[in-house]
Amino acid sequence: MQSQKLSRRHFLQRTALFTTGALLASCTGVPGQSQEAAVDEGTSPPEEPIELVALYWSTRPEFIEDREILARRMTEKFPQVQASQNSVPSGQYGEKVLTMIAGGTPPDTLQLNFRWEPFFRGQNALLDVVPFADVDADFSFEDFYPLLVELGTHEGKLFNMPRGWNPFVIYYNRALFHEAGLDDLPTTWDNDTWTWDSFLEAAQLLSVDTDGDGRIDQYGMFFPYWYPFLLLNGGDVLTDDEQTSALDSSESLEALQFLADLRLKHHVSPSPAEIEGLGGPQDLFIAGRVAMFTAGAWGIGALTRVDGLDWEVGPLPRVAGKSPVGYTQYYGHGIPQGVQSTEWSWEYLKVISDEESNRTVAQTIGDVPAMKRIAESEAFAGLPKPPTRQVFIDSASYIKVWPTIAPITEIMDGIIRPELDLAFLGEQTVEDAVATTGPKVDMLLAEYWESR
Amino acid sequence: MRTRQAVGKAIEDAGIGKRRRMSSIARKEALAGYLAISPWLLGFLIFQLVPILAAFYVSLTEWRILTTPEFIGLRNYDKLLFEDDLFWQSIKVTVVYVIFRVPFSAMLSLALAMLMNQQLAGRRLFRTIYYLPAVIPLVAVSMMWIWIFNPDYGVLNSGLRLFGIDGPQWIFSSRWALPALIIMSLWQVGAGMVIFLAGLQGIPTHLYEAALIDGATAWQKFLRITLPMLSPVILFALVMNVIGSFQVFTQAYIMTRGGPGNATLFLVLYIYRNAFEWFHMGYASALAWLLFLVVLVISLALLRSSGRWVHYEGRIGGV
Repeated sequence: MQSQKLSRRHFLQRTALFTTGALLASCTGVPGQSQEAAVDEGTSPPEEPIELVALYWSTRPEFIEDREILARRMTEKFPQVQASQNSVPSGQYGEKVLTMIAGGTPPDTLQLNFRWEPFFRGQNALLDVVPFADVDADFSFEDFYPLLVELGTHEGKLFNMPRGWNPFVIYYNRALFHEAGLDDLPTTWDNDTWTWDSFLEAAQLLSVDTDGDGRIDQYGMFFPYWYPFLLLNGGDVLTDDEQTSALDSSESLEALQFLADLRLKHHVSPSPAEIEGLGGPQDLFIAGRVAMFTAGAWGIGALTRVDGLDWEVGPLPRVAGKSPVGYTQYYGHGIPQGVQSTEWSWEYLKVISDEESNRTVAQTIGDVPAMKRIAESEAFAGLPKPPTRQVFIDSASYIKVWPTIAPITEIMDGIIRPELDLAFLGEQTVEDAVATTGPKVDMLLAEYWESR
Repeated sequence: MRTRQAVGKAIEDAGIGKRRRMSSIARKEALAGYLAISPWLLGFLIFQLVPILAAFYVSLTEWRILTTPEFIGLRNYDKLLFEDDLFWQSIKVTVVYVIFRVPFSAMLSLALAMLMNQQLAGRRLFRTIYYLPAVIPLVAVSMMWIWIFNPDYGVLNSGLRLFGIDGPQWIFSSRWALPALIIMSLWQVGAGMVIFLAGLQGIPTHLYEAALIDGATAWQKFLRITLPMLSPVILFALVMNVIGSFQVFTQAYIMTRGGPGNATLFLVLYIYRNAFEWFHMGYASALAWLLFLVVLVISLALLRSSGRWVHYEGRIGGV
C-alpha cells in the first residue's frame, strides 16, 4: 500500500516535470519557425527552390480535385517550385486568412469573391495585380468577361482576378412540368412568356397533395435566396449611392411580399421546417418534392450525377413591363500583402486564372468560366447536359450582383435576415420587417462612411 | 554581537527555529505542489490570463485584426449599453435561459440522484443511461434535437399528436425556439445527477437513523437532513450551472443560428458573430468583458448568499 502511494507520487512528479518540459519546448518551437519564414520574406529570387500555397474555401471533393490539378500544373511548369493547395471549411475562411496574414505567413494566393474581396480590400490586405499584368507579355485582361474584371477592380486597382461565375437560373423538373400540362421554359432572357405571373401560375399547378392527406407533398418552387427577386423587380437593399437603406422602396416591398405570399398565401413553397426535415434545395428537387428551385451554376454538378432525373434550366422570371434581370455570384483569386515572393505569387495566380484552368473549372466544379471564349466553347456551353446551358451564358447581358460595400455581411446577416425570416414565417408583416431594419441599416452605414 | 547571539538562542528556544526547520520541508512540499500544478498554472497564465487582459485592452479599441488597433476609450461600452438593441436582446435571451434552465435542471438532477440513490434493481444501468447524454458531444446532440423538434416529422410533435395536441413549431417559431432549447438542456441533467449522487452518499446514515427513531416523515428527513447536508453540493452545482448557462453557444449556433428573428441570440453567439463573422474584435472583446463581469457578479452574489443557506458540517453557526 505504502509503496503504491510513493510510486504514484513519483509518477505525478515526473509527469509534471515532463509536461512542463514539453510545454516549454513547444513554446520555444514557434518563434523558430516564424524566423525561418521571415528570412524568406521578399528575398527569394525565382531561381531558388520555393514552396507555394494557394488558399481556398470549401472542402468538397470536386473542389479539392480542381485545386490539386492547378497545384500540379504549377509544379510541373516550374521545376524549382513545389506548389500546393490548402482548402479550409467555408465557415472558417475569414478567420484562417486573417490569422495567416497577421501571423506573418500569408498564403501565396487566396480565393476571393463578392464577399471577401471588399472585406480584405477594406483592410488593405490585397495587392493590386495590374502592375504585374502590365509588364507581363503572356497576360491579357481581354480574355475575361469585362464585367468580371470590372467587379474585381476598385479605383483602378484590380484585386480579384476572375476565375468563375455562377449566374442564377431556374432549375426545373421537366417530367413534373409535363405532368401538370406545362410547356418547357423559354431559353432566352428577353422573352414575353416567363413572367412573375406565369411563374406563380406554374408553381400553383405544380403544388400537389399527392396522397390526399391534406398536406402538400410536392411544391411548385423553393427560393433559398430572396435577394435576386428584389433585383428582378428593380428593388435593392441599399440606395445606389450606398448611403441609406432602400428596402422600403415600393419595388423592394413588392418583391418581398411576392416571396412571402409564395409560402404563406399560395402555399407553393415549403416552410423552413419542411425543408429542414427533407434536406437542402437540391435534395428536395432530386426527390421530386419541389418542381423548381433557384441556384447558381453549381446545381449542374450535383444534378448531372443523378440518373433518370429529367431536368432543365430556364431564365429567372421577369416582371412584366420591366427589363429582364440576371443575378450572379462570382469569384477569383488575389495576392495578399506580405507574401514571400510577389513574382511567384503572380506566376501561381496566372496558372489559376489561365485558359486551361478555365476549362478545368467547368469540368470539375461546373461553374461558368470567367473567360468568355472558354465559356462559349465546347468546354462549357458545348457540354451535353443540360442542353440549355446557353441560358447561363446569356444572362451576362442582364447581370446584377451582391452589393460590394464592406459592411454588407453585417447588414444582411445581422440586421435584415432575422427580420425577413420572421416575415417569411408569417410572424410579422413584410412592412414591419422592413420598417425595423431601415433605421438600423442607416445607422450602420452612417457609422461606416464616417469612419472612412 | 553577544546580544545578537543571545537573541538567536532565545528564538531557537522559543521554537521558532524549529518551525524554520519544518518550513524547509514545507517549502519542499510547496515546490513539489507548484511543480505538480505547473502545467495547469502555466497554461492558465499563458493561454488564459494574458489573453483575458489583452482582450480588455482590445475592448478599448477598434480593431479588425489586420488594421492597427485604434484606441477609442470606452466608446465600445457606450455603444453596446446605449445604442445596440441586439446586445440587449442577447442579454434578455441569455438571462431568460439562465432563469429557467438553472433551477429546473438542479431540481431534476436532484430528483434523479435521489432516485438513483435507492436500492433499485439495475440502478447501475440506470445511472449509466442517465449520465450518457452528458458524454455525447453537443454537436451530435444538437443534430438529434433538430429532428426531435421538427414540427412535421419530429418525435415530439408526433407524440403530442397522439393526445390530440397540435404541437408548436418549436425551433421554427420565435416564441417557442427558446423554450425548446431550455427543454433540450434538461436532457443533460445526468452530469448534475452524478455530483448530487456523490453528495448524497456522503451523508452519514446515523442522521437518518436518529430521525427515524424520532418519528420523522420522509419529507421531514428530506427537508431537515438531506437538503442542509447537501447544500454545499447544491451551491457548487448552482454556481457551475449559472456559469455554464451564461456561456451557452453550440445549440443556438447549430440549431437556430440565433433565430428565428433573434429569438435565440445568446450573448456568446453574438460575441462570436461580432468577432468571427464581422471581425469587430474590439466590440466583441467589450461584449466578452461584460459577460465576464455579469457572471462574476452573479457568482459572487451566490457565494455571498451561501452563508445564509449553505451548511458546512463541523462549522458552528450559520454565518
